[in-house]
Amino acid sequence: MAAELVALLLHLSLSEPAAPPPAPEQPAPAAGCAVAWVATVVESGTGEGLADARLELRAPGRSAPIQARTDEQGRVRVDGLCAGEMQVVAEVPEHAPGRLKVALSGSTTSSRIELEALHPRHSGHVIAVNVHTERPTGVSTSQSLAGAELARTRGQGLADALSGMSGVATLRGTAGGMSKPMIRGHVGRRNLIVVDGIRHEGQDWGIDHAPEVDPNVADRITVVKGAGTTRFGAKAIGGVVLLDSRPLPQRPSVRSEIGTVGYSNPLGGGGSARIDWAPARARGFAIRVEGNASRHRAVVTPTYPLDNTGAATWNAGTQLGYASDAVDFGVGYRVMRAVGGICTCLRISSPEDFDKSIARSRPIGAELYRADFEIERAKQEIWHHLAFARARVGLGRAGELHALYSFQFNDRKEYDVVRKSVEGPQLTFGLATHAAEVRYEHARLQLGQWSLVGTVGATFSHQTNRFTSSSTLIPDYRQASWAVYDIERFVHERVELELGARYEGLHRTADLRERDFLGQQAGGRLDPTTCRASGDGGTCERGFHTASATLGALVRPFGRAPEFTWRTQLNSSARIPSIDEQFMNGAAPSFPILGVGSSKLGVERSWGGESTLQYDGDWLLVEAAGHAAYIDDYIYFVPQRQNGQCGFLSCTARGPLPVFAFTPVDAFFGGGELRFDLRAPRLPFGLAGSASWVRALDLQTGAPLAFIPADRYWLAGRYYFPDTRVSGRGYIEVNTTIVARQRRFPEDVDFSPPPPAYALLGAGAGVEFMSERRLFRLSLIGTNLTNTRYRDYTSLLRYFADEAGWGLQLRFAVDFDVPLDERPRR
Amino acid sequence: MQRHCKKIFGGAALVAALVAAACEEHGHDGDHDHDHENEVISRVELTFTPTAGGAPLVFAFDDPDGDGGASGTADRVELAAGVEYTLAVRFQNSLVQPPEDLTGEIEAEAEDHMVFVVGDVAGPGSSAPTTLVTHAYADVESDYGANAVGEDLPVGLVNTITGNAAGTGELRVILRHLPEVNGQPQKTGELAADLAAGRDLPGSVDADVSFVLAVS
Repeated sequence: MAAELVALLLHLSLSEPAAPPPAPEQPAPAAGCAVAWVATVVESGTGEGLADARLELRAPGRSAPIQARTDEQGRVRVDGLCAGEMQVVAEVPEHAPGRLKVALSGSTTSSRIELEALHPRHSGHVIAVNVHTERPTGVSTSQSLAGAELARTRGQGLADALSGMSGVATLRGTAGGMSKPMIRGHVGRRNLIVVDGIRHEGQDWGIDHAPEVDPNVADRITVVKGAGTTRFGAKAIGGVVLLDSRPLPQRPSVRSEIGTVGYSNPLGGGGSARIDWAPARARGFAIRVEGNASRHRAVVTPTYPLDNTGAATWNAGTQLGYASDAVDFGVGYRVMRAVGGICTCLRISSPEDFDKSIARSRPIGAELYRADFEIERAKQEIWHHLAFARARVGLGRAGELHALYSFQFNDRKEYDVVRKSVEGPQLTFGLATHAAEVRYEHARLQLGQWSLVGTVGATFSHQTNRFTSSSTLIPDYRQASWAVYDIERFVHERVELELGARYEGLHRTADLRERDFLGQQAGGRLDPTTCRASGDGGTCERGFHTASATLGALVRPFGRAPEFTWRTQLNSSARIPSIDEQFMNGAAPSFPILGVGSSKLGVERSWGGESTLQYDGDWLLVEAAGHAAYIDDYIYFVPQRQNGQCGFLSCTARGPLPVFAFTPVDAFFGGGELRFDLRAPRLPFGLAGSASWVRALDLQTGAPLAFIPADRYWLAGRYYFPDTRVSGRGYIEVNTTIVARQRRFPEDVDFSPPPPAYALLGAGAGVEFMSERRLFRLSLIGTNLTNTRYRDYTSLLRYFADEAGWGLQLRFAVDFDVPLDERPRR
Repeated sequence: MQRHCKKIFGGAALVAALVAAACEEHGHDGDHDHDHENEVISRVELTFTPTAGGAPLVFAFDDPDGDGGASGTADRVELAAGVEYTLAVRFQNSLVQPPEDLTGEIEAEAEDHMVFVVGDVAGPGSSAPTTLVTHAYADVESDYGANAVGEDLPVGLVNTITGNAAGTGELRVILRHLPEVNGQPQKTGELAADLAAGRDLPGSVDADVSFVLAVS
């Protein structure tokens, strides 16, 4: 709390000491205040007027800011202003906010406000009139993080950055940031992460394989909660995380974002920098260089440190682009390096030890644990490389064509605790993916009151994976996949309809080594029609073909209240089994079980629907969403009885282990989310909250599915400091997260009953200092401030140790933007 | 304009070079198990040699597919009552050709390892009500190298087993790996007594195999 007081004092000391005391009511304009301000808000580069832009004016002689909105042409007029200097902040979704000072004088003062688009440039011919959102699935429920909210998550891993969203939980592998987002109960294989339009390709099947994605590259992170299969492919059956970096500047300028973060638990910090340069002498060209690095010690629970959970990560990237009205192109390269320790407490060696660790409230030997920077075995070391080239070609009235090629190489090494004579990794994975996509956005067709816009696309990708270990786990494979899709949107002023269809194919060849092949063949898990002996081992070749379709609508039911929207979507999506579901044969990473796949598994098909009601007004946002899906042949990991010397279990050199097999079952997923954000009009208080529920059932047994997040509630109360001439968006917040005990869990699948419910107290304070060219952001966040001991149902750590105790995170960032063209800003 | 194009193509070439270098650096060399190091224990071999002389008796647990889905099998250990045996325990990786003996590595790190013999056994690690055999450690860390840390504790690669009463029960052999944590040894003199008393042990299990024990 002391640090928050410092932030508060800092904020107050920067306030204007001579500011007049705030009047209780908006004063009537003083006599003689008769200046009219006329402004146009346009998109930088295209010059198109931006409708429905929110403007906040701090005019001379007014104690409270004036709110205004632009009309359909992007124009706004405010009368009755006093002469003097006025500060204006303009905001439109999908655009960077604009700030400027206006000298009001005479009878009318005109301004033109240019806002930079946060989405790539589009031809005016392919955009539905007055629909500037580029969201790929406008009819499905989605939630975005951008601006100050995103800035408050800098320095965290992707899953932690998203964990504040309703309906998004975290599947935590180990401590130290190895976690993955869980969207409406779906994780890993059923979620897709898309970075700047490129599907992220990593070893996403393992519970402790966190996505190798740097959230710092994103200027906006959007979570599509629900199937996005027609646009993104079969893997997007559960949800999609879209990370969009800020487009390169389109106007000659130097733009930079520099940030630092320090945290107390785990103790550590990092820094990041991004510099964009668009030279004035080569209009249209721009280059970006970015990088960040962070390092932290082991996490500390309320009563002991989680030994060996330190991590070190760095990222670097560059891209070069050219943009014009007719043609854009860009090339880029990014690399991620991450080394993370796995908690000493998390040794899964034998079922007996595992049972004992579950029964203990504290890991054995915890008195020897230390919170240090050193990263020892067990650990993971990862390189992830991404190179890409993209182009957009305007086809005039015919629309525009986009092309994208990417290459990713994911190099993962896992080191176990072994005898000292062994130096290398115990598991090595190398995943190489080439992907290409071409899509054609056809020109808008005007059908009376309706606009028809749409995209037809085709994708192709080729992937190879090499796995090296002395144990069997997954085979090497190579696969080629392709897809064609079409998404059409009929847009009316109050109704939008979306129709999408996709057809895709995948051809996978898995090379099983001798022991793997013979073992799986003896277990009857290889399909004799697709698998054959080859060399010492065997080869399994199989093709899959699937179709997905969506039908959605967005309706604004009340003409006078366009803030009120109703979205609904029906979809049927198909997912092709992943490599581990088909061929896993070994000790499942992270659990003392043997996991086996089946090459006979077919496509998993879901039939689902969702509906969202949203009111997004000036001072209130309320959203309620419900979803349900029936999944035919849902691939589930179920225990399988054995018939050996060890009874139902399989005898291994580490004791008898249970065997789990990937088995198709029919499943039901359903649930809902509620969220609201209220900022009391004319009062400096705000209240925000969210709740999410997920229910999932195995329809054959009627039992709940395992590892489904428990009911989750979040409530925050905020006090907003009044803006001053130098600072804005100052707030102080107290919040609580309440997670219920998961009462719906299968008795025979899990190793321990779900942990008890818990409530965590958090707090935050932040402020921005802004000028026309610079923006400084300062925030302080406190987590688990009561130092509560707790365990989470969707965390692997729950079997071994508590989650992190209290911590503070301090962030400071500077954004600046220096135009290099001679054009004066008005 | 031309100058800028040169810059751009220079940049593109740099990206391409970086990618190529990255792929080279992390590419595989075609030899699948070349840089892979592991020490999977798939076979535990118990050799009982009568101290009074006689042919050694060898019994093994073997899991020829390692952590693959097929179950391993254990031989039936048949001993004679009233006979004292020297029990040598060996750990092997039979998943590679030729099979690799890991016992030497355990000997080299004797201070980080301990073998426990439990089941229907009377001995330091067991408090079983029925005791078909009696177990005693017959080695210490200094037998395998200098005893650098702490007491000179037993290792359990060599043991003395004496057949007591005739009957059938269980013989269980556990190898625990007890590497130092933050420079502090985890292997202490109380571990066997802790196990006998049902208390949890530190470290992790490298091997835990059970045999049917028949003493006649």
